[in-house]
Amino acid sequence: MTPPRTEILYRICWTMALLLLAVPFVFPFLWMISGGFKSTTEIFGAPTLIPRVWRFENFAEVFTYQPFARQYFNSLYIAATATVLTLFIASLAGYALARIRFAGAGLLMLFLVMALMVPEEVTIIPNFFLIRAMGLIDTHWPLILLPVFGPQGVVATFLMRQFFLALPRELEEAGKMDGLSRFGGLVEDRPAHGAAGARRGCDHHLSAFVEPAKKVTEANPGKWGFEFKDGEGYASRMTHALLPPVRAYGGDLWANGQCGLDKPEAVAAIKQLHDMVFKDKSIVPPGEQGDYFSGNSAMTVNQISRASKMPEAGFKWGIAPLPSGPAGEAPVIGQAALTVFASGKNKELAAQLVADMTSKDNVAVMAQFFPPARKSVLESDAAT
Amino acid sequence: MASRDNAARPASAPWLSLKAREMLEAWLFVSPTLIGFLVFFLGPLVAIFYYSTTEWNLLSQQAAFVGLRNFQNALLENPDFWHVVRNSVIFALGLVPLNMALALSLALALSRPFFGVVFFRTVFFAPVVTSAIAWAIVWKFMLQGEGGAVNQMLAWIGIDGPNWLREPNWAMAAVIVTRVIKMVGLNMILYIAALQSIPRDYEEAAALEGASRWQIFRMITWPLLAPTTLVIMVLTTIGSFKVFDHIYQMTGGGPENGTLVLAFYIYQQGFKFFNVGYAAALALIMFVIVMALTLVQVMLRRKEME
Repeated sequence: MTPPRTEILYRICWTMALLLLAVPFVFPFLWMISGGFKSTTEIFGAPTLIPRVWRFENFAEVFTYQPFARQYFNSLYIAATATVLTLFIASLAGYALARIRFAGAGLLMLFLVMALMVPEEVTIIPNFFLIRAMGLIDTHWPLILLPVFGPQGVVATFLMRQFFLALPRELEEAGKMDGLSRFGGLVEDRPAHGAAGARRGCDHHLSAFVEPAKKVTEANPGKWGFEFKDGEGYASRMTHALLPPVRAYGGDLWANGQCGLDKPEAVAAIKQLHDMVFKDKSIVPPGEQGDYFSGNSAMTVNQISRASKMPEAGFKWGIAPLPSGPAGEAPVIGQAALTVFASGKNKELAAQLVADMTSKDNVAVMAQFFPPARKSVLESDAAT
Repeated sequence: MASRDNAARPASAPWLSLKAREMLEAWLFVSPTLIGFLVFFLGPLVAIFYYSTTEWNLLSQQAAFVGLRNFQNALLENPDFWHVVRNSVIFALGLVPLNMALALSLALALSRPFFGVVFFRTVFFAPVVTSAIAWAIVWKFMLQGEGGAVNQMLAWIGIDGPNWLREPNWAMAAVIVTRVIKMVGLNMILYIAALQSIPRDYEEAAALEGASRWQIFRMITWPLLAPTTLVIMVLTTIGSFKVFDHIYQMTGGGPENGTLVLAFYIYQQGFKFFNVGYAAALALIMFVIVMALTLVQVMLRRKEME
């Protein structure tokens, strides 16, 4: 579709206006270029954009009239040194302000904001005496130190803080599990490093679940290593929380018509969970909100269908099998069933509803949330 | 690697509680910034308070305590001071609205892609990354009374241009406009970033409801830009009070002190006339003015947003 004629006219007028406005922005550069080829008398004389006489020797004279190469090098190396130093120092402070909760952080931020608001001209006189007292007059040091620690350095610190706030914590946590200190984490954080999952994925034994959960919790005050399914492990979803570890230890909730919770295997499993909640404090305790999906717990257990929402989570995530124990692996088993009661009033209608809900088409629709009940759907594309 | 050993040690033999270790780490991380802040900012700020109470001539190397004499001199006795403050205020009143209006107009024109948009953005931003001194030198040449490029262009349309930098009122106008051309690109970029973060749905919905372009701007775009406008206004105002190198190169504060602004006056008193005590008092007054202006702007905006 071609735009209407008025639209074209409108655009031409617009562009012309912008071109006109651009003149005072561009002209000084043209003037500089043309002036570079002019003689001194011509520059001061009546101005022409095209030099009457092209003096290419101006560019050679730049290097003979003054030590221009040296001056240029000075600029380059002072700028480079100040930039590298600023990056290093600002990234350290920015990291701490973004990642570590420490007393005085708020006050420090306030001071830094103040430094931004005060013009350098205010502190220029004492800074001159300071530099002189340090014996640094007529050296390059003030040119490097003042920008690094001045307003530019403060701006860099704020930018770095913002950057670290936006960087997924998971990368660092993976790093910490690899035994990196905070500094190691800061230096070695690279996406590939975290994405590899490092040591997290190699061993799913229960003891290998307890330790990382503890470490993650210690490294992140106010957050937890593990959350029971939707935080409901103490009430409606108690079996979700208890059954897998109890079975992994070789016990069961019931066996041969008997309660199995007092058997030694079950006791060991429950004691482990208890210790994680109340000793290590690595599992979200009763009454706390440690939602995995908002990033407040590092691990959780849930239906595979929940993963369909994870691409929007905004942090890196992965799926791992449940930790195994002395008796091997023990999955969480959940079932849902539809029943029609034979003594119901509208038995026929209810049966129709069930038949409709479990028709091949509708099971295919539900396959996006749950493993399908029909074998034919399970083996079709809809289940993937 | 040393850092690995450090990390391993506390895990096996904790010599500090986790919390204390975190605190230590945090303060170690911020210590370079903190030390720099104390040495090059807070220290000098405190020193300024002391200097401002002395009569200290750099040449005689003698400082005598004079109490509030320097402030009395600036605020009550020396007519230069109020003249300079007036110049700074005129400079800011001229520069800030012009800069912000131009920045917003350019941003509105250049926030959506069209053929040539990158070219125009580059053109309007280029002066920002140019050396302030080089910029001022070129404009000084271009604004010459006789044979300056600007007056030559004006002559084409029959205007006899003044000797821009040699007449007090024209000189002030000239330094303001050339400074706006130099710096407007920065605010333009900030506005473009803000405009691009506004979801288009709002404007489209309003357009469907039959709102005019002006109504959309006034009722949707402008209110959503408010936080950016505040930041730009504060930074531009502070920047306009800090202007130094531009004036230093273009007019040297002249003619007849017509463009002598606060930052330049401080420099002149401290480093040309060596009146350190008086210059320190001026610096403190400038500090108070800038802080007050910033606070007033923040409060006004907050009131407006309520």
